[in-house]
Amino acid sequence: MNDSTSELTIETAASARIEPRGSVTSRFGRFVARAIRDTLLIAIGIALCARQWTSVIVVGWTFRMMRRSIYRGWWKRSPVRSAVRFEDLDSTAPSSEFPRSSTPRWIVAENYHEIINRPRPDGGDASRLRKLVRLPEALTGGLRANLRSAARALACTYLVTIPGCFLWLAAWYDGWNNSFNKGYEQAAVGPLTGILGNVMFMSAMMYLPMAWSHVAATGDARAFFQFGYIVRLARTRLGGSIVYAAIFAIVSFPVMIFRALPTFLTQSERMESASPELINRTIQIYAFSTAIYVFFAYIITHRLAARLYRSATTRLLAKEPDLVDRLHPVLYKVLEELALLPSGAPPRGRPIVEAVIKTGRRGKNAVLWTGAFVVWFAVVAQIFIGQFFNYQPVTGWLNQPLVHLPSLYFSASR
Amino acid sequence: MNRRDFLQGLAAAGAAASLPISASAADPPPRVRRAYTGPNVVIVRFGGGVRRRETIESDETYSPFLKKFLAPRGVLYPRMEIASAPGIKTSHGEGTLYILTGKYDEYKDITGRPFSERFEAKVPTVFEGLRKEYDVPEHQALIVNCEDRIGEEFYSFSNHHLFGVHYRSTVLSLYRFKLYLLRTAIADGKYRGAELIAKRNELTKLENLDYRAHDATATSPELDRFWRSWSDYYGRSGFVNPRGDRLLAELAVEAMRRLEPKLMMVNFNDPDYVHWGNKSHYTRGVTIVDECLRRLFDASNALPAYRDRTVFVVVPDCGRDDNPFVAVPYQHHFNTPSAHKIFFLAVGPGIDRGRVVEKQVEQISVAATVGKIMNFPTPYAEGSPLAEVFA
Repeated sequence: MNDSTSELTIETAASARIEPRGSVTSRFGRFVARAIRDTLLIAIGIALCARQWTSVIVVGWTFRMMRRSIYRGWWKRSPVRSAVRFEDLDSTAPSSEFPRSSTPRWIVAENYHEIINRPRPDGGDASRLRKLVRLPEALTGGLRANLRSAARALACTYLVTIPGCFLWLAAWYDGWNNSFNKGYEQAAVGPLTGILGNVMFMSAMMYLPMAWSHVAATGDARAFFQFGYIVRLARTRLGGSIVYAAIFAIVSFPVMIFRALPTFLTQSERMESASPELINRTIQIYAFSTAIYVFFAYIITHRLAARLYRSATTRLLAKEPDLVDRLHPVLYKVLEELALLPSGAPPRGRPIVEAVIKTGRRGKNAVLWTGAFVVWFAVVAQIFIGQFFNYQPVTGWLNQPLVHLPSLYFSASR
Repeated sequence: MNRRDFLQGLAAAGAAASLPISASAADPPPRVRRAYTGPNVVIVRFGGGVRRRETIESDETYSPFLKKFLAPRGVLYPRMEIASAPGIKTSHGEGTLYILTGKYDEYKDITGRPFSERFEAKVPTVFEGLRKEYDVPEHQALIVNCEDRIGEEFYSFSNHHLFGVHYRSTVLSLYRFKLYLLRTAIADGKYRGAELIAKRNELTKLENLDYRAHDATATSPELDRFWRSWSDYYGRSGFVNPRGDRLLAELAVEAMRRLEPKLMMVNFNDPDYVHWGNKSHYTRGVTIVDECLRRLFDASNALPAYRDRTVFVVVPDCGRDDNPFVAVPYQHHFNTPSAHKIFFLAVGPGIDRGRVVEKQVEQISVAATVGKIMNFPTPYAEGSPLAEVFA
């Protein structure tokens, strides 16, 4: 190795800010501290899932987690991985939105230290008074980031799912109302409305996983409406989409069970004639117990969607490099930084071979799209079965815990 | 013995052997059944599944006719229950058969299909008991069923070897009306060729729905006249006649006019629509059944064959849940204590008046009580007659 190479190596090492490895004791200490921290964060998440209105924070928190997961996944596949640490990327610089670790903060800002110690406009250190004034911003930055992220995610999710969910509500109400009143002449209205609601919801679920991840990755609600790009992403990983739908159906099965279980709570006289205090206590305990599962199920389904998205993005760009110019600016920046943007056109195959492959692919894609659609019906069936066992008039249709707000809280009938 | 004698003797022995056994024994003469002269009985299944709370318990009742008019005129058992034991279910089919047979039993659908309630009673129903004791024709032992519960067509008779299809009741329902329409359409020559064959096959299949009734006639002249008058009034479309439980009330009233049943059971069911979420379907259903009960009572007072000669027996098939942990607390399939709690009311001649009997009694007492009212034995009913009913 010559001197210039040695200097380059030293400079690279310096710019990478490689820290010396600590002792075993300090590493173990950091591991324990990390484990305690993560356990506390998860416990808070579970508690927040005990009620619908607090579970909003969990939605935003999960989407911030998804963003980090997507970027980290790209970084792991990036050619600059050995040169640049994940934490040292510009795209992952500490900010109120981007989590420092894989489990974001619930309340305190991720960059609370930077907020408080931000230098004055003239470059000097901030005074104590200025730091005191910045304290509320630092202490609530995480909560505000979670709420902003949740607002983006929920607004987009409800936009595509509420038509189908509302049709379910209307179909169920009208269908059984008509059945009770024996309106033979209108017998088809309820069921047909319900079927239309099913088709709309299943179509939304074909779109949502990639759309969620795209919104999470960009931090921009407008990205949700890049329909062409998102559909292309889904098409790139159709097989993965079917697997995702199947996993979603499996993970949501216990949610259906938890929905139905309260129907069986009054097997004894004591529970039938329970006092309001006992009723409330039972509901609180039940809501908290189910929140343990719902919290993890929500994270699993959304992290899986993020995983699908990040592989779909790189594959799509490799296949269609002309999409680079139409990429969302945030994505463009991070992919450029990670050297994951394709350069040049993809290698062209022989025309006849390409034509045969493309024709076969169309047929295969049609089968896969249909397959994914059918698998999503399993989720729809679970929703209806849950409603048969334990009918929840509004939330039973308009809130699906793994899609909207991750909570199974219900109110008593007396 | 020569060959001719041998062959003649053999022929004589063969002829004797081919004679029916009964012809060779001294059989007792067949029992002559008496004409029935006792009170008519109308069993009102106040169903499908109601709680005491919405009916007989409170003055804020959804069944004011039952609670405020009828109950003070008869004997009310507000604490009748369906026993809690393995195999005993709180549901419509089972509850109906517990009422009809006086015996708790574990019933399974004979076809093995889920959510199907084609049950076969192993002991005779009150209809079979009545018809075996008295010369009551089939069209005067009636069950009036709703259109949604085809399985309840099976409850008209039991599998008991001493009773069975020849002592069965007849069913009046929209389903039976459709069979009548199909039968008459075929007889009137409405179909031709392949369509005619298909319709005949369809009719045969529907009439033989109950494999046990294969050697019994599908209908009778009295029933055909009944359905003819029904279709003359309401037409053949099924869109003009009343619907739901109101249809059952009209069928029952029309039956009282034209068929004059001695024993009739009307299986109301509208409250059960609450299964599918709209709470008001339950309370509205209770009110509808109450209005139908009033219709039947008024009709019985207006008709000479029934005025002062009819006992009303009102009993639910099952109760409903009382579950505060769900938005719609009124299911009944989960064997909760509340679903076991029902009531019993008897009103009419020979029945005490204005009495409330607070003791706990069983649903299987209904069959024996009806047997005592109508004076026929119920040896296979396990419940005892409710003694306090009688004046």
